[in-house]
Amino acid sequence: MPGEVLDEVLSRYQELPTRSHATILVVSIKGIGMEDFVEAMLQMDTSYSTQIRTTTSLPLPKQTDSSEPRPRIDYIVFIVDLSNQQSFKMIEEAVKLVDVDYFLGRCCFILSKAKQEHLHSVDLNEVTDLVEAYDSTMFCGDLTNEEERMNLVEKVLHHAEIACGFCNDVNSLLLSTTRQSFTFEEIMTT
Amino acid sequence: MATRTPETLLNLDRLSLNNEFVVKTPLTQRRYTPYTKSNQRTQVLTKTPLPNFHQKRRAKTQEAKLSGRQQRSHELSNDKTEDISTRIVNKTWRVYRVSPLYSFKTDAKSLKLYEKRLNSFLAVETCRAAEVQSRVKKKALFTKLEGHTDGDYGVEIKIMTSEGKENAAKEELVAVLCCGGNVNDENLNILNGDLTSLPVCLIKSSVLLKDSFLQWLENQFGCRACLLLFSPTDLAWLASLCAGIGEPTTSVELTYSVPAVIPGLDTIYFKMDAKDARRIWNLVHDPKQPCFTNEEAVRILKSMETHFYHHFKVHLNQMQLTTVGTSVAYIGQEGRIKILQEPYVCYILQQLSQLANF
Amino acid sequence: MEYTTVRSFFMRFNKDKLFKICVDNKLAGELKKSSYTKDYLSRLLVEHALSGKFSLRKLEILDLLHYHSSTNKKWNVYELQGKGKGKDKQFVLNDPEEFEELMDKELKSYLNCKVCVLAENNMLLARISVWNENPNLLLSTTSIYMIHIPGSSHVLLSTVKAAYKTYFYKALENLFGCENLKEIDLTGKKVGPLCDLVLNKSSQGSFSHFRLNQVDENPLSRKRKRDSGEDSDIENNPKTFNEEWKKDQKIKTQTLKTFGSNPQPSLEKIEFKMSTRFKAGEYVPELADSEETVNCFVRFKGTNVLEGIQKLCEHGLASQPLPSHMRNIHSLSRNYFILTDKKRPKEN
Repeated sequence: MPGEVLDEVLSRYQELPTRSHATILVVSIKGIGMEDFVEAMLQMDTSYSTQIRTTTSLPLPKQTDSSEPRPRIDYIVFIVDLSNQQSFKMIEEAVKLVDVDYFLGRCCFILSKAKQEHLHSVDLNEVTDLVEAYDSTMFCGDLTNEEERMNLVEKVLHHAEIACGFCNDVNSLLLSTTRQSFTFEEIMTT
Repeated sequence: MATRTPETLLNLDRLSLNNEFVVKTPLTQRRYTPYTKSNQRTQVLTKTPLPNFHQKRRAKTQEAKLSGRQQRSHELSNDKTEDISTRIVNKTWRVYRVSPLYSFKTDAKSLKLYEKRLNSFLAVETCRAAEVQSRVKKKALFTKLEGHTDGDYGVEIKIMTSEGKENAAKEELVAVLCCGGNVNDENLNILNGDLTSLPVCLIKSSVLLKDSFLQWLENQFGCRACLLLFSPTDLAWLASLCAGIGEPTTSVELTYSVPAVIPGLDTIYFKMDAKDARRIWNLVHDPKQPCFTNEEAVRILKSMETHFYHHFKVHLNQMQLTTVGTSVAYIGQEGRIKILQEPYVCYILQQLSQLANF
Repeated sequence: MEYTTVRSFFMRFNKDKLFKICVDNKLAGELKKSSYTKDYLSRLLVEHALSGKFSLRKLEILDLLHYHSSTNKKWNVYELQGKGKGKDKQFVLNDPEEFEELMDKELKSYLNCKVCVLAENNMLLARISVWNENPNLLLSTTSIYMIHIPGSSHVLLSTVKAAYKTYFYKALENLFGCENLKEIDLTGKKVGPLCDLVLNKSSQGSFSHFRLNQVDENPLSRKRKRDSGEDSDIENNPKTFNEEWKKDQKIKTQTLKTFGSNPQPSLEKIEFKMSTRFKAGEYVPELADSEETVNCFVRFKGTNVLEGIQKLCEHGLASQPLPSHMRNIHSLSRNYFILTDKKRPKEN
């Protein structure tokens, strides 16, 4: 029984990493700006090649023999739209099917429309509780606004680069331990 | 790609001051992660006490029998105080949230003073707006309104225009500044003596007059007024709550707006008969508990959405609520409200004050 | 004809229309359109009409065409049941006068009215202005507008006053030689889609491909495949990979099978009235097995609701397979439905 569950969980150690290539998985339901986000990511100029794989739910479908083997997923982006309850529900289910190794700085959550409180269908505190429970980074912005989208893309790529190991001397675990000092001072007093 | 050493990443504070060494990392552009844990978590609306109307009604009728004569004399002396419920019920209002007002008093003398000030302000405004000396005179009238408890009270402000000889004065603007009950005593204790908290302002008027009135209010009492928009979570909470109170006369209506990716369909309107909705409400809510909790509200709404899903296979939880209607009140996302049943006006005002105080 | 009535008649039109009418009648064509005001143009036309140069019939035709060109008039669809059992009347398209005479004859036996019929776009457009005492032909509030497509057994009517309904329906039944004029639950604002839904009832959705001659095309031509995005030779971006392409493909084929690839006829609203058992038993366990019905009402509103429903399926906001009362709306030629539960079989 446990063996079946393990097959569904997305793990980092089932494939070998690809040299100078980053594979990013974007987990998001349709219709909340995921397509524009992926397009914007691909427009960024980087020294490594990227492939972005998209899905609307986890677990990922089993691979048939005819298609290419799935490369190792280096980084995962979870997109939550706060005006869409289904997106949060899907992410809640999806995070359970990801290996714990991804939550050590190799994934991030994007909270779309976090600042437009009049559009919220989902309780913001619930989402932040989930993100904190998984001890991951959270990026806020509006995916439908071009400027904010580019901003988010830059941040995510920067984070993903480190997760893939393309930055010398910086590891994703190092980054997550130092993450606390980037945020407000009041955190230190708790 | 330039290597990023840990020092460059950590020294961002120094870098922002020292412009020559600014390394453009995405984090310097927008250091904004606002939703991390802070000490003071904003209060979440987890539960709210239900109005205990049966007890109140009994007490009121007893008092009326005993102090009939006293009441009449009371009325004669205080003509100005009127019931807040009668003023607000059955009219469509736009809801504004107002920050605490500085040195705002509700005794008769102060109200007269404020009337004078508003009159002079309006005179200046009309002179500025109209090039020719118009015979239109605007007059302001302040009245104090009372509700059920000491906590519910309000001030009604009417601006009437009278054109010369015509006796009928038209009400151009009606605004009710009010506050509802002492649900959260902590909020009121923070304020010092000079500030009065009247967080909800219901306004019914034309746009230009409303803007100038709010401008006067802000300048006069050092406060800020802005439109109170209802988010889909607020509307869902209010709908579930109001489905269970009041007389179930009309239905519970939910209007969802379809996301913009779907060009042909604009809204989905879902209406359930009031008695059926009340039945569901009674089964979900534990009758022994005096409070209505968030979990119960979520359950009620989810059950209605699932019932819809079984018939149409459309996921309503991917859409946003824009308007909500129950037997007690109609509430629109753009800040519009209409309360239909008089006994529940104060209770709804309490809920609005809680929302406005967030 | 009184001044005020004629003037109010003309003021209903917008300025461009008034200018066009003036030019057609050689009244005011010397200056540009912008140098006239609507008031002046209408006064010109009213004087022209009052001096007898504008026949009443011409005004009626103007009104009829104006009504049909405006896009926010509500139309109700009626079915002529039992047609052809009695007298067999064929209304030929190139004889609207005969239709008008017959209609006038039938209606005059019940109501005081005047009929005006025009043939346009393969349809017979009719304007019937009814009056009680004073024959005021130009008021549009007392007029009934009708559209009939010759050869079909359907009629579109604007809203008929309750007082005239029975008489009007009886007159129409006699006119068309049918047993019963039944109002079907189809209403809308655009005439084209309503006619489409009613006339092409059995060839909507994916069957529209047969009607529009989109099967049996040149197999070597790739135009249609390219247009609908099915061409797999077009290189997809190799840098993106949709992990769920199989699921997406399945959804796409299912939607195509249900709705076809042609644009859907546009309906402004679709309404459902439900009296069914409560289906959300997992949230309210006490009602899970109860037999009591819950009364609900649902309205889908938009510019093109059927297209919207199709897009809901494509984007995952609606899960497939859709229930039959959603899937088959285009073939049912109604937009008001009443849903009830099937009776549960009695368990002994």
